[in-house]
Amino acid sequence: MRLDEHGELPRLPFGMLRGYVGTDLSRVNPQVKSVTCPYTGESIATVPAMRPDLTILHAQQADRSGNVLLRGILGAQKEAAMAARELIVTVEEVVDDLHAPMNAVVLPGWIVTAAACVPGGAYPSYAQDYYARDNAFYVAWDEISRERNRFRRWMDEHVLGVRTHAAFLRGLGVASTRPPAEGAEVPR
Amino acid sequence: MTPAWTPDEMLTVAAARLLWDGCVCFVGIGLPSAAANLARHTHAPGIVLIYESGTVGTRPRVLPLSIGDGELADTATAVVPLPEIFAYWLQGGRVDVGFLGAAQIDRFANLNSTVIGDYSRPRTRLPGAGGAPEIATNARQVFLVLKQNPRAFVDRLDFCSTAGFLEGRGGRARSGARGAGPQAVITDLGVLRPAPDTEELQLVAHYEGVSIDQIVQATGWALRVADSVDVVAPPTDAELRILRDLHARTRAAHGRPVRVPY
Repeated sequence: MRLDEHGELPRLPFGMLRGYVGTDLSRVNPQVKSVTCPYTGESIATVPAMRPDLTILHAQQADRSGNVLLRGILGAQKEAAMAARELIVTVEEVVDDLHAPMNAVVLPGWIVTAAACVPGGAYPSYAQDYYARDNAFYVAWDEISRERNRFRRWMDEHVLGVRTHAAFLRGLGVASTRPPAEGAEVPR
Repeated sequence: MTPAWTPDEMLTVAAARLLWDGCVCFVGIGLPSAAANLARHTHAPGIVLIYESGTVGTRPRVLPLSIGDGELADTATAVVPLPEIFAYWLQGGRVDVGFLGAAQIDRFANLNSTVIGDYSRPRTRLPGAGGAPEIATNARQVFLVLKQNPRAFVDRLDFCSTAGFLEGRGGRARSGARGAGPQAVITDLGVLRPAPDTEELQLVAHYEGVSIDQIVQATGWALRVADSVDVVAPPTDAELRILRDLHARTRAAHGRPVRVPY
């Protein structure tokens, strides 16, 4: 899991960090090694670069050329996109023009393997400027996921037993039948 | 007589009081987040809160359920990518206080957030350290909040996820860690701080209605007690009201139904 956070150097040699010093993490994870800083002599922990076969992201918008606009809390999504061999993106909506501010996070269409329009695709999490996270669902999920049989029943009913994301949302009673409300309009 | 506040409330208030106006605080979810936001709503309106998701200078109206909450982004001065938070802000030495919790702590304030039991066959697998090892290494100082009992305050950690003072007596400094390390452990019984020479945690303050003996009994090692132990002032009416309002707003917001367009 650390690699997800710190393998932030797509197609670069390795990631560097300081926090492993003195802990058991480097003892149980042979991927954590160290180098000596050539400038200060400091010992720096290293983690290998990640090279996932596939990265899947959900974003706000794509245009008809497959360029993708991401905004909100980014985490390491851009790094995950750039590191992968193949990149699949689902978006809230497809638009004629992203109207992206100059320094916005835009993934050009030519690095995107495929994009699909999946409104509500972040649920039960949220899509910034589209809809809020369902915090009550997250709290309820603690109980659902605690016990294997209950988890399986839930998965059968809501995930494996439905054919579309819209049906998944309807099954949970959270799908709005309205078109995207005014609040969902994209700020320019 | 039963006090008019809970041990959690006393802990949160005592932790909040350690933060100062203008302090740049890297906040963990849960009790640290409640304390940091209480400080912001009381004596430290200019406190700068940073959450690991990259929200810098955030002023959430309700407490976040996780670091990824949209509320943190909506109310932030800047929202930066995760690698930037660790590189420019933490390693860059921009953080005054790393404010963290953990499942286990030892006498030198080393922390376990990884497993209970043996690593290869754990009895309980915990969420993991997340950014805590980096935060604890790089922040100028670290404050810790934990509920005090012998299962959490242990003689030996099951696993060391995050370095405190390592083996004490300068071990941390020799390891090359940059910040000063854990300078306060705020519990539901009192406050511990590292002794200047050994860096072993010692009891420096307790709450009203809590005895020193009770705190020693709640510790899984022979807890040292400072020569003079203070009594922490109980929560003020204002502190309690603001904290309870914050929790009530949070519960209301987290219970609000969400509708997703499709």
